[in-house]
Amino acid sequence: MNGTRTLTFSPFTRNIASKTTIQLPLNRGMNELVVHADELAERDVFFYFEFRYKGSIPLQGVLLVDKGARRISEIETFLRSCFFPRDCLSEGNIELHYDPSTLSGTLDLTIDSRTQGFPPLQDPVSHVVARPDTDFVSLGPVGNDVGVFKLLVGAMAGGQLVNRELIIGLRPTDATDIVPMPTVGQRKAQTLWFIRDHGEEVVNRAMAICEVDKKFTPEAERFVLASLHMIEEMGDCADFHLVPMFLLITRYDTFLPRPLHDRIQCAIAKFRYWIDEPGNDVMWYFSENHAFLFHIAQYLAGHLFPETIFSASGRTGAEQYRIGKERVERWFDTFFTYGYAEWNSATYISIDLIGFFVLFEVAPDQTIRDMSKRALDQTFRIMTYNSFKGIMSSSFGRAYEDTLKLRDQVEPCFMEWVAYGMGFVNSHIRAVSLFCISSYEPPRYDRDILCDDGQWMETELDQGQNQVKTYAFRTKDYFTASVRRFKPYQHGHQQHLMNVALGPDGVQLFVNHPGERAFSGGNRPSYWAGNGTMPFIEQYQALTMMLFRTDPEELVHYIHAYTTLYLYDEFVIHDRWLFIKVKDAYCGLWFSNGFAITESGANTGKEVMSQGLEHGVVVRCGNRYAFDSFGIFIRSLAGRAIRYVPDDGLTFDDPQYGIFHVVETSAAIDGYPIPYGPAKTMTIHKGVLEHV
Amino acid sequence: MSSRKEHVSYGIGYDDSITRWWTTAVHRRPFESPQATFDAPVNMGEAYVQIVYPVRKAFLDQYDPDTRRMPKGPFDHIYFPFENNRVDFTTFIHTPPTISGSMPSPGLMSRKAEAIRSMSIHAEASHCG
Repeated sequence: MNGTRTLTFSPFTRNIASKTTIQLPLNRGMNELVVHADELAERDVFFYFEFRYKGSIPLQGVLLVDKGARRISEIETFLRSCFFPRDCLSEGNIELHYDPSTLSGTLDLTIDSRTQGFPPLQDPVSHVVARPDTDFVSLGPVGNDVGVFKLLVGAMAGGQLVNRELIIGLRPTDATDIVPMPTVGQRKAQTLWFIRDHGEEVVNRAMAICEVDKKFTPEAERFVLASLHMIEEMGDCADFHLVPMFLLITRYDTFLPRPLHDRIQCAIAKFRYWIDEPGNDVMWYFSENHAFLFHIAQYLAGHLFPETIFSASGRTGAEQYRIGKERVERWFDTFFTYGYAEWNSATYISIDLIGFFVLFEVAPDQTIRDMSKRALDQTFRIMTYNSFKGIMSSSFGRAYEDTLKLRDQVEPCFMEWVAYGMGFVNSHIRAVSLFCISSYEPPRYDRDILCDDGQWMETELDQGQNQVKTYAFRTKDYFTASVRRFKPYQHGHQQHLMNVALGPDGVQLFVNHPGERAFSGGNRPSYWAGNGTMPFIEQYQALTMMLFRTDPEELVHYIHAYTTLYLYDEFVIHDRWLFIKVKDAYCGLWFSNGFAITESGANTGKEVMSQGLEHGVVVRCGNRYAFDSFGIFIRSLAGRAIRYVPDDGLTFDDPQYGIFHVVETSAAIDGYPIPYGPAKTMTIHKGVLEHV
Repeated sequence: MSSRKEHVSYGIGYDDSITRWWTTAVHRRPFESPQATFDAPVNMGEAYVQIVYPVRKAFLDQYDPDTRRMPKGPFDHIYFPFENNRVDFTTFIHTPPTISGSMPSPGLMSRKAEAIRSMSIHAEASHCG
């Protein structure tokens, strides 16, 4: 402070914020404060500080600049108003909307898609001009790019680039609207052709090129080298690249130039396969998916090169094979006993599938191949039972912003397209490519989940050693899922706890407590993914009741819902209810503290917010079959008694189910506790909807 | 900093964050540590688990915050927070570098500066990293 070291604060607890309270001597007039921060970066690096004023006398923060102060402020306000009206585009122009009243004249904007963790656009518009006489600017037509992109939108002022990040999904019709052919085999062939030209630039895509072109093209070599670089430097997630590499060097070895083959073999011999081998990398070994892939890599590497001395461990390949096999078998044993720890995770199930497919194809032991077949069946069942219209629409053990808001862009959605002709073709191809190369075909789980008019189906499955109670209820018109009674009122991480999908396109909706204020930040929990403080949730068929009791220390003191109003046929606000209609699917959301639709900024038209720390929330789904019309649905719900008192919980007189009451961590209907028994295997019930 | 003449101003009330800063670039330097083994259980749940790698132990062994000199810049970037309350450089890095950044603040002025000779800021600092 003013040239004097005032505080040294260095707890260095990785990725968990530490806090201290300090007194800073402030002189009359201008004072200067300097902060220096250090960290050892390990994978996902939460690297930030917050400086929160606890004094009572108002201060003025002053950023001194050489010139352009007024322009800087204007640009900040302008950028804060910017938004994409739709989260995902398939055709037309990419339009960036803004509040023209924030502009005093034209503004030159720079657009940069080269952001960390996201692919760049292939043919981006880099400069556009925003004008005050209109409220949007075109960033050019939706091109051939498929995926989720983070754009830096910025403008210069006072010699400084002021910019902010905005996320947009692109799934161009021209590239992805492929009519699925009748059989799995045919769809696999269609997919390999698609992957040849689209998707992540990794070794998996090189194998698709080998399948289609029957040769090793320069592009294939570039993709292999990208993966090989990760393996050689033992960067975090190198195991995702290494496991498919074993398929490359066995099935496609004749395509490979000899120097490349030798370099791959050398990288395999130098790799670190577990933490009992010396190393100084920061690869993450300890999640379900990473542990599995490391064990597979050790097992296959040892088998393929039994005489080789592996430099990290000093073991022979034969020893690596034996140890790796034991570890793979132990992993499967846990998996078959408890199921997924990272339940339903659209992100990480895809990683596990990489392992299953590679083992299914190249494991030297029949027992392991049998286990991988069993695991594949089990996983396809989970994916399909948790999908609606081919989109995985359930709760997730771990999630990210894009896996929630752009669900047609996640890999299980593509997997469902190949398996059953539902879902969408997209850019996530790591497991899909292996599925298409593989001879594996899943059972027809899609037939299990068919619901005709008037039918319903509910499923419940306890997953992981923590026996997380995942629940889903579906009709022909909607799907609603949650995790019942999961760690209520605790600080969350990436757990996505409830979700709804509506109508023939599976329009997504969910409610959460934001974990940070940045709309597209990288922390866990983030604004959309996970919860700052997790709610208590109870679901009974189409009715979900939520109690939020947010820790005052949390950064955000409101809850919100992801509500893509632009995809609704109709929505009606009635007192504290928001009623939504998507074709024959209906949904009613009730917020005890009322709500407001977000009408400015990045979330414009996609969010409703409800202020406060304590909330009762009702989410009730219905359809035309049960309620006859949207109007009757509204009247049926809005006319019923509903009451929330923090100490006495939430009570709702449901028009079909009776009086539903949740308080603290218990739930009852008409005074009787709602059954909450174990469901170690998938419990399935089916029935016929009642007319209301 | 003193040569800069124009002000971008904003109010800071109780519990508000100081969010606009001049910053250096975030510097990365590869961090080499001795090769080591270690042991920790695989996470059988979905929640975050804290596992301290040998590389972090080595980093902490050699790091002495009291000997760190406050860098003199150049402070040539402005951090704009938008909706964020944090000064946030969160990212993803596959291999272990040290990262560091420096931010000299905005000036801080009491709106009642004429009425008082000096005062203290009572502030709560949170830090992750």
